[in-house]
Amino acid sequence: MSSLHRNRPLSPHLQVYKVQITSLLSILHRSTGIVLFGGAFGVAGWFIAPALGSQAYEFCQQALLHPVGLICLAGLSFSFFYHLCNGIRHLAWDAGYGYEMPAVRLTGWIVIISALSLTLLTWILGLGSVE
Amino acid sequence: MKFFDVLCRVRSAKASVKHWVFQRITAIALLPLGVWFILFCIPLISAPHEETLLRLSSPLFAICAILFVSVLFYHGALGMQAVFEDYIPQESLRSIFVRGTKYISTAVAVLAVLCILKVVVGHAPGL
Repeated sequence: MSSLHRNRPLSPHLQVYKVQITSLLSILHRSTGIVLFGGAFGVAGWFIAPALGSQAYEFCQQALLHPVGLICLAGLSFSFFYHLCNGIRHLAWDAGYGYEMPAVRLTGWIVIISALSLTLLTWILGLGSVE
Repeated sequence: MKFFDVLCRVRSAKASVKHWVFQRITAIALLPLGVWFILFCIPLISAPHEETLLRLSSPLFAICAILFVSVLFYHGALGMQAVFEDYIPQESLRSIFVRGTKYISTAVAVLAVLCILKVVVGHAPGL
């Protein structure tokens, strides 16, 4: 009985599949969505802090501009732009466009490049305004 | 809009159809609101308190901020519901997570909206 159990073939695990742009982007859409849900609480906090007074506001500001805060902002900004761009791709699919495999791959690459460029652009312009 | 008509005729899956449609409506609304947030809120990250209060108290800015926070949490709660429904097989536990997410999202969004309104009222001329 126990040897039978041991020799049983396992169902295919995630790691036996070749990484494909289709599945990778789908997983990224969901994980960035989860990350952004956490970020939403940061956004709420950022709108709540000014009303609480200058002490709360300055604490919030110091936390954001702290290296740890900036690393979080970097992750959140990429997640935001990726989820936004891939969200547009999803809306196009919902409307019935872009289902052919070459189109799926092409729009996938467009999403990756757009998300990275928009993140970079935001940081270049953002750091420029901080001085 | 043909696919919306087809969907709305699927009577046996009313709640799912509502979830699907609202997830799309909030997604579309978040496109301009998200771009607004990046363009008009990110530059305020290093601004002094007074400047942020002044910007927040302008009616158009406040309306955008209120819409952004509300739609953001609505869309987020719908998305998290889909995640919990996929990964939590036990119905009771899943229900706790889905409901909990909705209550917390609503509470935090309402708090944020109230705080924005407080700033608007506090900075209104003659008050």
